[in-house]
Amino acid sequence: MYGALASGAVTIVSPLIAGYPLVTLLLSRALLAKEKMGPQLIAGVTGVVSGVVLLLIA
Amino acid sequence: MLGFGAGFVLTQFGLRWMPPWVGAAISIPTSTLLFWCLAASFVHFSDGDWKAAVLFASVGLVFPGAAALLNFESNRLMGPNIAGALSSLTPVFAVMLAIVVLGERVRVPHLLGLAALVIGISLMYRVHVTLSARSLWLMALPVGSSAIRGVIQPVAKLGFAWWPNPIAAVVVSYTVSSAVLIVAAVIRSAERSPLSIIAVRSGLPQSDCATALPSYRCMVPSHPVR
Repeated sequence: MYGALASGAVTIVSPLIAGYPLVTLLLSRALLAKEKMGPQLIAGVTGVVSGVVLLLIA
Repeated sequence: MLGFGAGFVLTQFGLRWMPPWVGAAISIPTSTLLFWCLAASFVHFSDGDWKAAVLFASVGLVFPGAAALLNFESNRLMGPNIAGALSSLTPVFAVMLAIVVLGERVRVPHLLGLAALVIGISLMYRVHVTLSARSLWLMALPVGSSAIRGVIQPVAKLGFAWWPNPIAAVVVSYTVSSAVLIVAAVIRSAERSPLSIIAVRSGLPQSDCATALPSYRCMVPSHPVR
């Protein structure tokens, strides 16, 4: 986080860092097999991915 | 993002044998030791700036240590779902402060992306609760934790203007935060069993990203907020 903040704008870095629950979800499914994908979760993942893509291409 | 996410998952293994607050009191100082090892090669303290060091130290007073403890209390008092969902407010605080303090400019696509992220994360945490007056009041805890995480980012960015070295920033802030956490853990241990004190003092290594310790639980269905 500090490395990203040192080289990038807070308005870009902060939202990208906030997307970590997506990585947590994917890893927890792979390593812990705890998470079941329901409609709401899929909508949430879609929202996070869309947000990250928008920030990256903006 | 990848490091934070991986930390959350790895932390689950450590939490099988010890409570979150003890884990935080071990993992953050362990990370601090690692960062000090890196600092030997990447930080020249003679080139440092004391104003930046003060800013980084002030960050360390609240992050990651105090923010982690606030998270624990939020999860304990409100349940992980609502606490986790409110943690998605962090970038909102950070972006607002970056605009006001740093003068950063945002465009419409940025705002849309930020909104999509916040809504998406909130949906992932599955908030199905009826809030009572008490739980509304308790919302100050997770919102406060989010505010801390959001505020420290522009503050750290300010420090980089004087001392643009992220390793130096992390060494200073984690050192201060470790001290805060160890003191808090010793005080809390004194109120509990002698075994907990031994666990804290033994310094057993654990995975990093202790700020995430309880938050992973927000991702799975849990007890509702009363």
